[in-house]
Parts: sequence; structure tokens; C-alpha cells
Amino acid sequence: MRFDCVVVGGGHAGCEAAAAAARMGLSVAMVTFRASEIGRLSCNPAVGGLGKGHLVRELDALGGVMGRVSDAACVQFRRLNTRKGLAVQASRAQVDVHVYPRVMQRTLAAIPNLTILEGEAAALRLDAGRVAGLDLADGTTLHAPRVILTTGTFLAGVMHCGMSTSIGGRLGDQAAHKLSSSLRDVGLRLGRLKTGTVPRLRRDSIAWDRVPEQEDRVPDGRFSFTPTAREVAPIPVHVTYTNDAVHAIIRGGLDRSPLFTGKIEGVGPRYCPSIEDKVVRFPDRGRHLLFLEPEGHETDRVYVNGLSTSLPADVQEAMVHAVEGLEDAVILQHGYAVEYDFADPRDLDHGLQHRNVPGLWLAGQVNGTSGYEEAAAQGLIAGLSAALGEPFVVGREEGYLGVLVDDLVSKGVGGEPYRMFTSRAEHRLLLREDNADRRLMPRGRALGLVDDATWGAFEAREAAIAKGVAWLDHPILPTEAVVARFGELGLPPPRKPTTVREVLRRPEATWDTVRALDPSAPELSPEAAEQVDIDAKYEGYIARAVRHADHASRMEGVSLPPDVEWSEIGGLSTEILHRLRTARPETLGQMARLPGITPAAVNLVAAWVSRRSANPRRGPLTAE
Amino acid sequence: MGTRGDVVVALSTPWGRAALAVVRLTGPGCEAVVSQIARPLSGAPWSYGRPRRVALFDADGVFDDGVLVLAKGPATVTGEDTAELGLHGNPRLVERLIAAALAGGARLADPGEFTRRGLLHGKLDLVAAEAVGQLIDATSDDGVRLARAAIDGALTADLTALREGLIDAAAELEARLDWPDDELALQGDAAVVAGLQALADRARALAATYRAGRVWVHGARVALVGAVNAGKSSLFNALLGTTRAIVHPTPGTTRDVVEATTRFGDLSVTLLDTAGERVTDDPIEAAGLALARELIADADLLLVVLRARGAAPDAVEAELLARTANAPRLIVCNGVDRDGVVVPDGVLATSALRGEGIEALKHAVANALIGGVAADGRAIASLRQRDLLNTVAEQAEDAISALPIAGPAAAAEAVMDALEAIDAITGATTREDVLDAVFKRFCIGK
Repeated sequence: MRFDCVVVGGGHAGCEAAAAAARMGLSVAMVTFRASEIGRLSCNPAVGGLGKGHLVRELDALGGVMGRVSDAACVQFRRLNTRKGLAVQASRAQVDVHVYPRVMQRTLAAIPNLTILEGEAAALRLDAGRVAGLDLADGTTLHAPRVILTTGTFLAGVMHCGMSTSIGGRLGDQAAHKLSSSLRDVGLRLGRLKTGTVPRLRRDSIAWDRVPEQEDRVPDGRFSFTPTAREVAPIPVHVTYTNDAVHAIIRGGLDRSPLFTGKIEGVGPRYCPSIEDKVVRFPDRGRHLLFLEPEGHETDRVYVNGLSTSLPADVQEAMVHAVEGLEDAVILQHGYAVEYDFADPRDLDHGLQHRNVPGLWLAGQVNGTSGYEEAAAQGLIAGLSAALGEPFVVGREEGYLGVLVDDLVSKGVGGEPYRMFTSRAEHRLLLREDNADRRLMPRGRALGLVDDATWGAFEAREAAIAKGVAWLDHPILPTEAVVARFGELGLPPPRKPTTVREVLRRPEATWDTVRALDPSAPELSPEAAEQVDIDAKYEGYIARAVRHADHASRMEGVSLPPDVEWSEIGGLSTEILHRLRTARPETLGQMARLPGITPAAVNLVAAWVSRRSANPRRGPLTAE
Repeated sequence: MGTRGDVVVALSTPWGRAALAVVRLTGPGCEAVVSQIARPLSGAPWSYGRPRRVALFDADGVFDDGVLVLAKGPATVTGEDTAELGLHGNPRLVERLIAAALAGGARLADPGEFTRRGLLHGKLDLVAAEAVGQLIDATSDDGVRLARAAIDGALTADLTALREGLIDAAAELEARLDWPDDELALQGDAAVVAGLQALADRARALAATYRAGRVWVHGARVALVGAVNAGKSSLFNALLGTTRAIVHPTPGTTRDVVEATTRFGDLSVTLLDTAGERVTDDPIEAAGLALARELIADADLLLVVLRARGAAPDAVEAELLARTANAPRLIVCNGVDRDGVVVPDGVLATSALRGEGIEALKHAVANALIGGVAADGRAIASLRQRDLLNTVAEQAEDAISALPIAGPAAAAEAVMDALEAIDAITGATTREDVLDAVFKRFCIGK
């Protein structure tokens, strides 16, 4: 069989990669163990979160599928960090684990050019160093000049539960061992990581009346800029806590934890650590927060968020039963840890194509990341890049997508699975969830991935925002009537003439306040009003952020010649020369972000580039 | 500029006749240039690290003998191979040696290029590099002391402590972004705010030492101003301990500005005697007055000299006191030896005639110039450093004000700007154009 592009894997990266490449016009085959498993939420029943909600909104603005599918399968929507300023607020959707994959499969089935094949990828087929296709374990060959690998944790996956070990990427799944050795053969540098899972409880065995319901819910919240109807009824999430008794039980079982006995060779995640990790690392904390997240309407499984563990089954039983509300809980599935191979992403370019194997893209957990959203984001970038024939680059000042890819290819995963954080981005005040469409939808539209209705709504909102921003300098005079209205709104009245901008700068004022004071002010949709409000309230802070971003773009705009012989630039130390030769940065900005690169070295290279571009014929400095 | 990996040459001692002159070269391949201008007097070849007597030659033959010290990089001040050639201190010989080095492939060094190369190779930071310039310029023991301390890293250590405090604050703010409140034991906002305010105060306190540091390194300019016939010139002479300005009872005797440098204790002080203030039709006197007013603006300290008398200051003096109210100044009443003189509160009394109050005045001047900085205290002597330290303080305070309004992300951005200012002081992130500005003040050959 012959295709333009083969996508290996039907997880979150695979779905976005296949959808993007096919919608860009390539004929795409998605190869997966089981078609019914496509889009499966193999870990927690939720999408989004701090740093991750941003990725989902950005994906959506570029025509990705995760946002819409999450909205359709959403059983509860929350806004996080609402008290920490607008930049770091993020959305998190609880989703039904059966509805989500079903909607995803339906979405993919509706895309022309996209064929889904069940099978096991066995080996990459190369022709003169370029990708030529993929051999399946049953002997079938798929001919294609592009292969996108999104194999998740399946590469040489090993599962641990207590001291027992079995082979597999996820519980109930096979592991892709043949492919792993084939990839080593073509020169991929593989490393080892581990990730943990939590125990699943039976819903009717939990004392729900003794655990409080979670707050901060947004009833009509959604990720997608395209309104998508929810297909499921809401389900509440409840919270409970560990306690000293639980911690004592965990400490008693540490000698049988594969994590602490060294049985797991991979490096575990520091950021969503196992409960045994948390207890050992924070001995002073008397309790840790647990979320009881029902996995959906069609299952009685409840995911215990915060209780990731690989302790033996008997220890898990004891510790769960020591938790308030879980005294009689029945464990349907014990927590376990998975070890798997990942490919060093520093071998990839900014479109996630392998530098030494043209035609091969890698996306998702196989690159050493953790999380559905991170995987989906890479899938989209790889799919678009494969279709465009050149890297689809999102700048670090343009989106978390750009931060993610740039971190991976320039810094690597640094010994533990890479997870998105707000603190990884430099330009957080600009990269907000609320403006993901303003940042990226024009690019998505240019690619032809944003439909007319969504684009029309975007343009209408932009026009409304412009109207509102133009109104900011409108005067508000302290007439008797206006002063009275200030009083009615509970705001201190102004003593002298002021402007709409000044009024909006008050923390408690919104566009509704402006309209109440000045009925001639334009009526704006809540989405447009929010942008105008942010524009007025955070002007100074945003101006600073823009200044930083401009500086960064300038650094990014300085490209370094691909054939540069670094030693020609006098003054660079041997260690820095080594790092530059290994990492091959394409721009000054990439160079500056490499570990171990000193600012003085960046200055030297900057000066060298500017002299060289001022007089290109002069060539290397030593020839002067 | 300065980053080129070529060999540079410069005279490192003052130009002119002297017992010795020292010419320095640095850069990779420095030895190859040296071999075209010097050869060992004995048969054995030279080696690194050991002084050798050499014959200096050019196309016309040997013209002098001298001493060569070759040092192998990177263990040198520039981080590159260097050579120091000592020869007889005759400008003609120096010219021939430098011309021979240029013919041998070297080029003339830019001002400060030796130090700048050291900076680029991490041999010292920008604070220490600036201090090298200050050590050469220092006009007082305290100036030498503070430059020496900065070269040895004392100022860098202060800045590093500030930097670490800012990084802690940034980390604390960043942690707020990515951890749900329950997951991590965070300090309250009050603790972060107090920490940032303490850092801002420290930065500002260090910035405030600039006046003292500059006076220690570069000396001070102190201008005597006052109405005609107030006795400025007699006081000027008394402070100098010599008759430098003409003293005469005729009002308006001093028309031009008279300048002389002396020492008040350890401090180098340049005194400026100016034309007395009065309404005048004389164009020469008017020009002198205009010049005096310009100098007043530049002076580190004004001595406002009041006429000794029994009554309150007259209109001219009142206007002068009002005009200089915001300038650093001391008010002096000279001529208190006369009968019936009333010295107002807060005014220093002197009698130039009898030499009374002169030592006390010198002490008062020195105290006013050095401000509140203890004699053994740390100080900065660079305007660039002062401005950046003030930026550090302002940005830290911006972070404090941003926190409740725009949240920890906005506050963290302000802290990043504060960090950037610190890094600009130490040279870690200083842009090339700023480096150019810093090094252009250096003498050639340093």
C-alpha cells in the first residue's frame, strides 16, 4: 500500500498528527494496535490544567482536534489559579473516558484521506538514508516518504506493580519491542523513563457524603473557539486527603516499592510524583490532597488523582482504606509504574523531524514528554511540518506550543519526563489562554484549517475589540448623574474628568461598569469585553512583556550560518565549542537557551554575526 | 572591536623619556610576532614564563636590548598568550619597536583592549575591569582601597548576594504559578514582598555610595561662591595654605575662575574660586559670573561664603542661598575676626586672616563629600553601576506593586528585569555597545 504519510500510533499525538496531515491534503494511514483504542485516555480522566490548558487552546486555534473533542466529552469544567493574575489562569476539563475516544474516532473517520489500519509496526523502511515506509509485523509494507512516530510508552514498555513485572505499554496493551530495536538500528538515541499510574476505585464503594465536592466550576466553560455541544451530563468531583496513618503505611511498604528498590531503571517524574515520593520528600506535610475523579457514565471506575504509586497490592489496599471516605473502597485496578524507551528529542529539528533520518518525525511521549496535551501539541506540529515540507515553527513569544518544541529540541528532557509549566514560558503575560486565538488563529486560517464560521466569529470579535479599545480614551465627566451612578455601583466617584481607560483600571471595574456610567459606550460580547478590559488594566505590564518578547524575537531573527566553524570565532572555550557543535543552534536565540552557554559567548557570536553580515566577503576573522 | 583573535600591541607605560618603557602584546600567535622583533642575546631559545634578555631589531638592524617575558594563555590576564618587552624609555625606541611589531603582523590595541580580552575569556568580570581603570585613576588611598577590593571581587560578592536574593524571589513567584496552593508550602505574599523590599533597599544603599566612591577615586571639585567682597579668595588661599588668588578690598577683584588642587586629609580636592555675585555692567565681570554659575552646577560641593556682618543676608545673598538650596553645600561665614559679627545657626565660622576654623572647615568638607559611608565601607565609583543599581531597586519595587494587581507572572517579569540589570553590572549580559562605552575610557595598553 502506498500513502503520502504513515502515522504510527493512535494516541493523542497520533490523532493530531494524522488529522493535521490529512486535512492539509496528504493521504494518511494511521497504524495502531486496535482501532477501538484510538484517542484513549489511558491515565487520568481530564484534559488541561496549568500550562496544559494553554496548549489545548492553542491547538484549537490552529485547527487541532483535542479542544472540540474535550468539550463534547466534558463532565465538569474548572478555571484554575483565578486568584493569581490573568496570565496563569488555566482551564481543566473532567471528561468521560468512554465518550472522549468515541468522539475522537468519529472526528477522524470524518476526515477524507485518512485511513486507519490495525497492526503492529515492526520496522522502519529506509531508502538511501531517507524514509521509504513502514513494515508491519504481519509482513505488510506501507510505502510512504513520511513516517510520524507517536508510539507513546509502548517502546520496550515494562510494567511494575510491587515486585512483579510484566511486559506492556499500558495495562492490557502489548509493547512495541520490535520497533524499538529497529529504531536503534537507524540511529535513534534511546533513553529510558518511567511514569506511574494511580489505583482505580469502585464508585459505589466510596462514602461520597463524607468527602466534599470540588469548587471553582464553570458550568458553560469550554476549550474550543468553535462552540461544541456537550454530549454528556455533568459529574461532580470530590476531594479528600491522605493522613499520618496513610503515610505510615506507605513508609512501611517502601522496601517493596520498585521505585525505592532500584528495580525501575528509568527516571521518574518530579512534577507529578508518586505518593511514596511525596511522603519521602515532604516528611513535614501531614496530608496530601486527593481528587476522586469518576471516569465517566459508562463505568464505575473512579480515578484517585494524587495517588500515583507502584507499591505492592497489599500496601495499596491498606493505604487506600486509611483515607477518609475510602475506608470500604474496593480497588478495581491497582496503581502500577511503566518503564519505556524514549528517543532523545535533541536529534529533532523545530518541526520534530529527525535530523539524521529525513522523512521521520517523532511526536508525543516517545520524545520523553508526559501528558495528553503535550503529546497532542507535538502531533500537530509534526503533522503540519510533514505536510508543509518545512518546519511549522511557533515562536516562544507566540505560544506554549513553541516553548514546548523549542525546549525539547534544544534542551532535551533533562532526565525526567517533560511536562508543560507556565514557568517554562518567558512571555506568560502575552501567552494567555484568553488570547490563544488572537495569537495563532490567523496562522491556522492561512493553513486552511480554520472553518469559515469559526473565522467569521474571530473577525467579528476582533472588530468589537477594536471598537472597545478605541473607546478607552473617551472622557467620563464627573457630572451629578455620573457621580450618582458611581455611587450606585459602589465605586468611589472621580473628582475631576477622567477616561474610560482610567475607570477600567480599577480592579473592580469591568466593561459593564463602563456601560453603566456611559450608555453610549459600545455593547461588546463578553469575550471582546474581556480583551478590552485586559488591555486597559494590564497595559503597563503587557508593555513590559512585549518589550521582552521583542528582544527575544530579535535574537531569534539572527540566524547562524549552518556551515559555521565555531572555532573561527575567537574566545569561545573548548566546552562551549563542543556544545555548539553538538546542538547546532540555528539562531542566536536558540544558542542563548542552550545549557552551559554563557552570555559572554552569546555576545561574542552576536558580534561575529553582525560583522560578518556587515561585510560578508570578509569571511572568518582569522583571515583579516 | 576587542573580540578579534588577532595579536595587538601597545605601550603600557607613559609616553615620554623615562628609565624604562614596557610594550605589551597579546593574542594567539603572539610569539610569532615577537620572534620578528626580538631575539635572545644568548644562544638558547626563549621559553614561557622566564624573563630573557633580548636584542630588539627591525629592518634596519638591532636598535636596543631589553627584557622579554612570554606567558602562555589561558593563565594570563588576557586569557591569551602575552608578551611584555621592557626596553629603554626613549620614545624613538618605542616607536621603532611598535612599528616593527606592526610590520610583524600585530595591530595597535584599542583602549582597554587587554582588559577587555580578559573579560571575554572570563578572567575577570566587568566590575573588576572597571576597577582596574579606577585603580589607575585613584587620587586617594580610599580610592585605591575600593578599586583594589572590587578587583578582588568584594563588590562582585555584594552583587552576587543581591542576585541570589532576586533569584530566590523569582523562584518563589514562579512556584506560585505551577503549584496548586495545597501542593507546596509557599511563603505568604508578605514574606516575598518584604524580601524584595529589602533587596531594593540594599541596591539603593549601594547606589548611594557612588558620590563617596567617585570622590575617593577621582577627587572632588569644591566651588566657593558668594557675594562680592565676602572673602572667598582669602578663604580659598587659607584652604590651600598658599596665596594663589589676589585678595583686595575692592569688590569684584576676582573676575575669572581660579582653580587649584590640594589635599584635605586623604582626599584630593580641586578648589574653584569664583567671581562674586553682584549686578554688573562690566562685560568681563558678567562673563566671569556666567562661568561661575556653570561651574556651580558641576561642583561636588559648594561653599557658600556669606559676608561677615551683624545683620541678616542682603538680597544678593538671599537669592544665592535660595538658588543653591538643593545643591550639596556648606554655608560659611568668613571674617568672624571683625567686631559685632553674628554667625547664624548652621553656618560655619572662619577667619582666613587668623587661620581660625580652617581645619574644621576642611573636616566639614571631607565629611560632606563622603556622606554617610564609613571610611572602611564598600562604595562604587562608576556612574553606570549607580544607574543600574537604581534600576535594580526600581524593578524590585515594580514587582512588589505588580503582585497584587497583575499576579505573580507580572511580578516575576519585573524581577527578571532587576536580574538583567545586575547581570549588566557584572558584564554577564552587557551588550557590545555598552562594553565599547566602558572600555573607551581606558588608557591604551591596559
